[in-house]
Amino acid sequence: MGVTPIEYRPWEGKRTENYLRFLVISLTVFRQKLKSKWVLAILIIGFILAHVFFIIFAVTVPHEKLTPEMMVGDDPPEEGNYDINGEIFVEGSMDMGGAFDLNGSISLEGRMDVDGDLIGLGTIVGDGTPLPPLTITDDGAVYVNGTVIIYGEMEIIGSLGGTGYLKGNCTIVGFGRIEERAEVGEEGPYISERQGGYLKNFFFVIFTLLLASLVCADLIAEDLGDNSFILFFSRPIKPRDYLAGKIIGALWIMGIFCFLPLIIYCLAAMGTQSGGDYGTSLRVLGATIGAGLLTTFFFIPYGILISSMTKRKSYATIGIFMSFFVLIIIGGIFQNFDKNWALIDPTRILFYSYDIIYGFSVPEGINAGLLGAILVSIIIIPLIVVYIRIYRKAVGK
Amino acid sequence: MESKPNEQDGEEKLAERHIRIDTHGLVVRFGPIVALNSFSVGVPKGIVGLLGPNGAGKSTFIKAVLGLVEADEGTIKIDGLDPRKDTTQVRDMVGYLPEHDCLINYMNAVELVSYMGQISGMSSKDAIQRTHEVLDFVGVGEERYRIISSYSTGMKQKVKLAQAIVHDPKILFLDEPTNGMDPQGREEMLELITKIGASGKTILVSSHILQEVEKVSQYVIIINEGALVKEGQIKTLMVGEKNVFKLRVRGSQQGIENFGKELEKLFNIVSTEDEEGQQSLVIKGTESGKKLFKLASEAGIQIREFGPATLSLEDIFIGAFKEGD
Repeated sequence: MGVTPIEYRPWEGKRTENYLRFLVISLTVFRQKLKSKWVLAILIIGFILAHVFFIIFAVTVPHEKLTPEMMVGDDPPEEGNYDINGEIFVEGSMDMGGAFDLNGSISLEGRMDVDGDLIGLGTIVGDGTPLPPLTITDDGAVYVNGTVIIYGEMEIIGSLGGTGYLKGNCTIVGFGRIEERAEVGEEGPYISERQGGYLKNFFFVIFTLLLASLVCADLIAEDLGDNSFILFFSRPIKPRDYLAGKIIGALWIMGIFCFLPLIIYCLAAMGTQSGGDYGTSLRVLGATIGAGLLTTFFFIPYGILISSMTKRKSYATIGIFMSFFVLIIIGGIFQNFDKNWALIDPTRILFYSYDIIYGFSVPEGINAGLLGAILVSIIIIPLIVVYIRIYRKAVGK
Repeated sequence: MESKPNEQDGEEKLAERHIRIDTHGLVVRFGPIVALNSFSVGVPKGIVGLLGPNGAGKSTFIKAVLGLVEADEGTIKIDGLDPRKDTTQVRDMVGYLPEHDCLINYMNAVELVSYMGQISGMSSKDAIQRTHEVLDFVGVGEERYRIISSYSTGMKQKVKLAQAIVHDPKILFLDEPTNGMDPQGREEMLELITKIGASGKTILVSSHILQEVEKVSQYVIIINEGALVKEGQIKTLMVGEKNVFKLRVRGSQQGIENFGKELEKLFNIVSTEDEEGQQSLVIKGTESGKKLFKLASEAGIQIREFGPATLSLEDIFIGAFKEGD
């Protein structure tokens, strides 16, 4: 006989409490994920691109205090954007790198190029002579590469050139010509979004999506694939413990990327601030904790739902990432018809939620109630569906 | 082979530690298919064989008892507990070796077995220590540090057994434990089961291989098409009907033929089996051997063997299905 002559010995140790056993699953998920080369690669590369540079900036760029704008960006956000509340006189040409809101007036004798949006409540005056609300004259041709939105009347005497949209709730009177690429159409109210900021940086978003796809993909798919599901459910754990264990394990990994660096950034910024207003900085830190927790948790329910629908880890990984990607594209297309379509884009849901967390309002045109409902739905509904699926599997249905 | 529990010292002590499983009117349906049909059985203490052809409902019965399959009707009691209501208490005392592949392929045996031990309530330290103990017991050596996907079927079966016993359950459900193993592996697995059984556990071994069950079990439950066909102690079931005897005679061909003809006049011959220069017969209707010996003497042949006919497990199995029909 090949069996070693070892007799069976009983075990007489003390058992842990049932309600703590989900922690075993979460710890195992955490350890296994940290062994994955792909997860490690995403964590390291993502950390360098999405966090390290920002943390270095937070330390090296002089700042008075930690502000919400550092986290979620300014409004309007990009360099070269201006709010005109007074008057600007342009004798030569004026080249705008970004968009600007026009509430005052511009006296334009030269040429003005705008790469961003030109939004007018004020007037642009050509040749020093006041004209109806927004008039583009021969003397001051306006070239806009962004969107021109007119609330008042726009009279075009000169040429209007651009690669963006021309939208107006106004009468457009043309004496000049509109270039072929320009489009004329009706548009609702203009919506300005906060952009830029640490939390809205491209790498943070993309690596969070990638990491969520990798971390969530095999949480359930692998157990379904190798049939180890049955091992778990022949043991004293309930479907809710199993699900909680898997989610918490994934949270720890996501937290390494989505939560810890944000706190480090805030602490670094607070540690190097020149002013003494620590109250504001602490409020921003508090909001950052909330935003970090939201980001950490946000993609997991959806990811775990996709994972529960297939037995193949690779299908789940691609499925999660691609479905996020498709939602982003659809949201981007349809928000031109109604801004609320942006809310099917998970990154927009996060961005608008950040705005609220940091004390700003949601952009105009976005229904805050709808945002709240979608945010809750995108978290709760997948969890309920996954729980039902696991429960049914656990009882053999 | 190890001695069976009833031959161990401290028999009473062991009996106290054994646990009974009872089901009554158990019905499990999968859509239109009735997997268990009003199945009532009492699984006694010790090693119990659950026999039946493929698709008979053996695995479904085990899963229903474990709470892994929802029963549509009927009651299940394990040591007085209902696995549907007292799920965690029941699963705390149960170990399960599933029929099909179920191991987490990216882990090694140590990781997997200790993981399962911890889910069953062992501390991390205890689980690691116990894992090495049970892997030694089942005969998994240094391979325990290799990932499971690289294991042979026999190794996987041993790891499945190790994870089932790591938390020292009182009841073990072994669903086709020798599935896919080579003859030596089967022998080893049966030996392990016998050793575990000797420690006073209730073990339900599901198999369609009769010799295996016969080797390790004291009690069998025969199931077919979701219904109980027969159950009882193997020793009892093997005892044939009253007044049925088996005899083996040796002599000339003519003598054996004459003896057969005379025998047919007096008794009911159930079966005959000719071998070289001898014949084995099962006869019914005699109370003693007196007449037989007289006939043999007259026919000039020798009676080499005579005694009550006993059945093999195969006979019981086939007989049970005939009765069922």
